[in-house]
Amino acid sequence: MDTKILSYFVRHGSTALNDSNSFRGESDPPLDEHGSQDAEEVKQFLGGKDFGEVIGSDKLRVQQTAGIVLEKQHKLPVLTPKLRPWNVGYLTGLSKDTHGSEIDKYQENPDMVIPRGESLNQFRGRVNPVIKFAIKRGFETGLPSLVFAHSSVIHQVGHLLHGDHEAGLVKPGGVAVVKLSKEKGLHVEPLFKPETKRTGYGS
Amino acid sequence: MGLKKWLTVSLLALLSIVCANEIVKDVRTYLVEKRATEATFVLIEQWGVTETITHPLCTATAYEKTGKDTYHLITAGHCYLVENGKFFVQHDIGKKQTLYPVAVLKHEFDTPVDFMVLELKTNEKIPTIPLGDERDASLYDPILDVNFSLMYTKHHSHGVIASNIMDESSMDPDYGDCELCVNRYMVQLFAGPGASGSSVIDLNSGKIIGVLTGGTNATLGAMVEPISDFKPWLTGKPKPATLWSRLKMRWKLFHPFGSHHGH
Repeated sequence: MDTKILSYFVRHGSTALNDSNSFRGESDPPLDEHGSQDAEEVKQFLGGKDFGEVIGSDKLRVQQTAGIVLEKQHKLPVLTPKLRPWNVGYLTGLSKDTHGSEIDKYQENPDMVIPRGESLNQFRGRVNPVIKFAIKRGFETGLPSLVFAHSSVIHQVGHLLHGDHEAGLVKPGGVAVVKLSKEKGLHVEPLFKPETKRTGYGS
Repeated sequence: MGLKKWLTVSLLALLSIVCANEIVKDVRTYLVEKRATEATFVLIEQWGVTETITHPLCTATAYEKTGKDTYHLITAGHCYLVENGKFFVQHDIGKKQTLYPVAVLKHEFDTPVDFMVLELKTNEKIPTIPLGDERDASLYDPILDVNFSLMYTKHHSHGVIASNIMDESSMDPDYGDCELCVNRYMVQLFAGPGASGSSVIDLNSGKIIGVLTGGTNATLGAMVEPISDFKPWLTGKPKPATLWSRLKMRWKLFHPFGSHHGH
């Protein structure tokens, strides 16, 4: 069997909260100027490819990214709140520089619920079925699924397939790909704009 | 007996035979439908340690009873694409349904075949639909597929065998590379996400002649893995040809639709 591409996971373009290095969580900022440019670059990168299922988080920044990327595809993503980022509760909007150790604590204790948010395992239970659905449909339809999501969701793809949440990390406007091959089995790898520094789930 | 009377009696006899044949067909279809409904389960995956989340994946069908309380179920191998969670089956989608744990006995999807065998242990009596052979069926034969398309409750879809078994050249290269269709045949019935792994049942024989493996979104055309592809994997050896099967194959060579058996 040759390598099959089953799904593309697109991280939304940058927002003002990306630039300020804050936890985005449940907040709903729009793309900033760079974010629109990020989406244009994804459109160029994916141009000409055909997709089966197209799914996205219902957050504004994701919808805007999908709108730009799919402009010429005449397709609309099916939006779902299940693909929202990890709800980091009280940490939303706070700086990662000053509160980074707090998110590490919740990452190391995945059943610990963040006040006004959710535990890491609750987040995993929410997004895993959608990630699996996208991958499975890529297999069933013969066309890769296209998923527009958040950094924490792409972290979870790596965790789900490899037990390593950093396996497919990409920068804002980057693309990770899930492939099936004889040598590596089912695996995720960064394809466009790979992230070079280590980051946590809450980024 | 006059000619007129003889013709009338003959006509009435003929009509009776036709009617009786139709009634037998209807009764047979009804019985197959009833068995298929009871033999079909939704395959569920369960996640979580502290918080349990269940997620329906595919459709599975009981095809043989292997022990006093043990059944084997057939479904598609790619339903196990990402190896996490625990597998269960339920009679239908719904929170009030009982979850029966199942063990994965065989599982293939990265070879030319795409199937999975599950073992279910229960003291509940479950009817089974035996494995047949698609080579005993022909194009346009009526089929039944009980499934959970679009994750709706268990529902029936009647249709027909719609194509021969395909190969790389069966699709115009301008439209794709036929990766999905090689060594599969098409059926025409309603299928969508959730129907994967469901059994295509030949209504003439009442046996499983394929496992639904894919298709583009919720359409009337779906791809089916021929049962003879993976039957040897289940029994350990291919079914030996008998005099009867050789005669049947010879007949099929002259049958106008017999060529749909690609192997």
